[in-house]
Amino acid sequence: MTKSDDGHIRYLFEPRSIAVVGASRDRSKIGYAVLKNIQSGGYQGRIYPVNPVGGDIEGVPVFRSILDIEEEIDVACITIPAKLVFGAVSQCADRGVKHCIIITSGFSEVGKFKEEKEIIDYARARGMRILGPNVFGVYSSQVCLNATFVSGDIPSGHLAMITQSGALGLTLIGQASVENIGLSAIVSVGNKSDIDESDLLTYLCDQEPTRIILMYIEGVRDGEKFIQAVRKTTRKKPVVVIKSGRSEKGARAAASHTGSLAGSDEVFDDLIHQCGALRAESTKEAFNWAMILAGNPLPKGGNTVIITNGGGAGVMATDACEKYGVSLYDDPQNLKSVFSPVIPAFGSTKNPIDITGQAAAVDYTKAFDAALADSNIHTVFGIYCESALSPSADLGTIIEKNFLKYKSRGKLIVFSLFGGQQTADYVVSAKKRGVPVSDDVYDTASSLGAMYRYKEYLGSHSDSDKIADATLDAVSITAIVSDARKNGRFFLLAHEAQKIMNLAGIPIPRSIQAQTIQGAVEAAGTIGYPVVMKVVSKDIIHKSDTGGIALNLENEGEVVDAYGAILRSCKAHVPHALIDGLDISEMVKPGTELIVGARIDQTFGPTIMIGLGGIYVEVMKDVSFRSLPVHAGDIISMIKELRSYPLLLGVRGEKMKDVAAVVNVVTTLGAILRHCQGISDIEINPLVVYEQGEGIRAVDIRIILAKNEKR
Amino acid sequence: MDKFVITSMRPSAGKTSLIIGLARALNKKIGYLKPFGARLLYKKKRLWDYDAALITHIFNLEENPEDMSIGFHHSKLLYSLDEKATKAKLLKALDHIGENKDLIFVEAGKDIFYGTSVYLDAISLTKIVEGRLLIMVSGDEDTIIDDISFLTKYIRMDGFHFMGVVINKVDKIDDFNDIYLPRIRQMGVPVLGVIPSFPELTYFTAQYLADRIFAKVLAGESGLNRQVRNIVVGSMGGDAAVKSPLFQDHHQVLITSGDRSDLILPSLENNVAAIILSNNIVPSSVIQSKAENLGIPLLLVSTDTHQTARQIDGIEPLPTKEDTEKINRIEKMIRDHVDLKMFTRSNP
Repeated sequence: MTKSDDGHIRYLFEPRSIAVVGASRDRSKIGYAVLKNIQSGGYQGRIYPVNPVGGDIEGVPVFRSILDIEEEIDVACITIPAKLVFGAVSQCADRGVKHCIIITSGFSEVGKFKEEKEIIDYARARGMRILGPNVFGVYSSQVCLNATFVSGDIPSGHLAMITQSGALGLTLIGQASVENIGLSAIVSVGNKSDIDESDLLTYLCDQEPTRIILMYIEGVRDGEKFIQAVRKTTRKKPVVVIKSGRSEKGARAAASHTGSLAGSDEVFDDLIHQCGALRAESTKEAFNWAMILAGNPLPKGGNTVIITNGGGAGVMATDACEKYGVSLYDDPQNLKSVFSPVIPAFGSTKNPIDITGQAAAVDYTKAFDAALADSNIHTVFGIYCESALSPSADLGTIIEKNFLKYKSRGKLIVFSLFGGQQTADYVVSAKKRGVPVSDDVYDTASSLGAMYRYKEYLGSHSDSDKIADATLDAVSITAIVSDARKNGRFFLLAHEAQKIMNLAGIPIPRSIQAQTIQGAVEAAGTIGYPVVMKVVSKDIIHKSDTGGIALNLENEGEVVDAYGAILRSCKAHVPHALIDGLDISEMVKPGTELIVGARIDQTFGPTIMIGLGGIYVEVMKDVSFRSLPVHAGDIISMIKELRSYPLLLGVRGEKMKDVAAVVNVVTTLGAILRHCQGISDIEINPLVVYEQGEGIRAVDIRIILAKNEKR
Repeated sequence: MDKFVITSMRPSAGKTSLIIGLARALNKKIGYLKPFGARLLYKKKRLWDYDAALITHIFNLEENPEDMSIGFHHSKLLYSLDEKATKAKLLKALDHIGENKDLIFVEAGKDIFYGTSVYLDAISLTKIVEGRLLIMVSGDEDTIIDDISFLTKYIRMDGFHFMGVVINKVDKIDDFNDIYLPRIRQMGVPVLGVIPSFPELTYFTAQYLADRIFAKVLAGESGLNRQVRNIVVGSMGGDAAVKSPLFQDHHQVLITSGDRSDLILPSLENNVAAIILSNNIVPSSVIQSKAENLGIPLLLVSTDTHQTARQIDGIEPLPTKEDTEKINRIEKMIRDHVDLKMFTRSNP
């Protein structure tokens, strides 16, 4: 999007004038509902109903055609049947309308791609943007515009919603209303034929009433653009994403492990976290997060204390906090000094703080006040279990009064309440007043976890973060790629990949290629035993699957045996393979094996991957992805995300591994992908990592070239 | 200790099966050598021959299969050994393998000529080990008669003991015995046995097939012991397939690509032995699940249908160590059709 597009999208949410094409007197028609909502929502701009019949609707004159309207029109809502839409769109475009919201369905979602494309092409050629087709409209509190066919009022507030599903969007509006969550904007993207989430984020990022954005998406069309838009937005306000399609599977014959490991949901998950967005599992979770993020300050630190009158609930809350990564404050001495004056002797000052079942409202307040006063405690997780001494009638005192006290002091307090009907009713009503309460400790812990993750993201990223990059001889690397392409190949042979590693400064084992047994024996002698032997053939990519690798050959006899065995096995597996020879290389000493890759993802563009390596990489699937460009901190966080990260820290007496060297390799691969033309996939598996200071060795390298030269 | 060198005029004549049958029928303590290995197995830097491993297992031999072969490739043998060294190595192997044995079977290369340049052809072996040469002949009747004629006409049989021939895989045994056998005997070639063809010895299991074509088992692992007798290439339409008798056989293997659910589903319903999915195209999870429930193996390969069919065509139905039924059949076949007396000590 260009700068002019940035400003342009504003008119979709803040139009000065709006036309409803297909406005109707018939109350069963969408054209009626949209017009009525615009009028009743309080919109102050100019409204132009359009219908060939003319006349007036609810006292507003109706134009027979949009061409009859003399003034400038910022937005046109189209609600007419699909077969008439192109005609209406072309009139709007010719008239100079800025944005067209096509509420009508019956286009690409039912297979009518050609018809939809016609509309887009016509509009684009005339500078008009299209939202939809197949949407429910746009709501924007900025100008009190409800250009949707949603029944009932939409409460105004600070939550903006972008949804790919119209039906779900209508449900979300209803849910927001029930929870008393006010909306600053809601828009459905429908078929995403033109305007998509990224475009909308660009506006909402800077829109003042919006404090938090919730997105429901099913798929991403332009991943690079999406990532950039999310990244820019999360620096200013939280973005919560619900994405369906986790279980998507597909048969894939990938040439690289990186390609086959990059299932779209795994990549999406990692990239969305990289951008600081928060991915929710359900709409309920998303709303809980939205409520707490929109209405409360971020914690000033990572210390959470649970205060409860029920021991069992406290233990459950502890489990829940662990599940969602909420760190519980663990300084027994300080906790004792803070809480022992305010809780019974038979209570507990270990976190969770147990003020006991005998606690009344006043005891809760004392404990909460003590926590509020202590600067080491950043968040309080209050748990209320209804009892005779703490009846539900006291909830206002226990919960709301303390919440307001905390809020005035800028400290976060959240609650989980357990009890009978009155307690349940209180939860519902308190939520509507913006008090962070729930009836489940897991819901509360999940919300806290989301807050902490967002806080951590903000703390670890700044606008001045340097992009991780490496200086390369891109010209020489690109020349190697071009030569391979001239030979009709779309992947590099072993010696070519090794040359690139040498040019990039990534250490590899010494190797010599041999075409005869004699040559192999001489090469082994030159390199020094033990050696590894690998087949060199453009027709054999996965060498270990075809018996094309022999490891740890310790003498001439083993080299001779392995030579014949490899050739025989490769020919049996891939009879048509042209074998150029065998690569004899030094057998690297054992270390921790990782896989590192960089590839051009079809949806998300340039990405990098790191994971536990070796031949079981596709079984273990312990991998992490990021979108390029990355910051050095992103690479470190990728490594830390791995389940096998403790192996790099050193286990069972081993020393810490050279993580810095790994970061360098990842940076370099990313730089190769970004700066060198023609490469689509570059992967090292295994990358053997040694102890700190001893570096790494790239043992096996696979480089696949882009089919499209322009990449 | 008797030493028998077994060779053949052409590859895949049944040498190993003959050795297995003879060893079982003669019921003596045997040793086995295959100096020029062919069916190479390489694992953890160990190199051995499939037949050596098979015989070691069947007869519980104490020696390692690796010690039963001198080499597998001409290039390696030319590089490492000259004639003298080859002979010395062979005799050393013979000494080791022959210790405490009643008789030794030495299986030569794939045919009588194989290994000549590296001194490991059948005749060289017979001379070095001072054994008795037996030649297997198989094929159609014309091929058999041509091979034996060539043998008698052009191959010098002096300097070593030639036992005779065993004629294997004869289709019409009665016709052969009436028409061709007298002619062969007239050539002065001792015929130690005429063995008819047994179709059941050409069958193999789905597991065997999967191993030979390096297939990945997607489903139906429980059915890998199903017997395969015929291969059908699935290139017809689904309707034609349903009507075709080819799809009714429970011992059929279908080769088709994974997106041909119109062929795969009727095949599953007709309880085929296995389905090979070509071009690395994985079928839907519904099909995989159905195959798993029915215990019908789905075998995925990366090659196309045509190439896969060719590969399968080239598969030799070797016995495996689990194939006790086949091994028993081979023993009976040898007992019934080979003159065992020729292999005992009293007959030089």
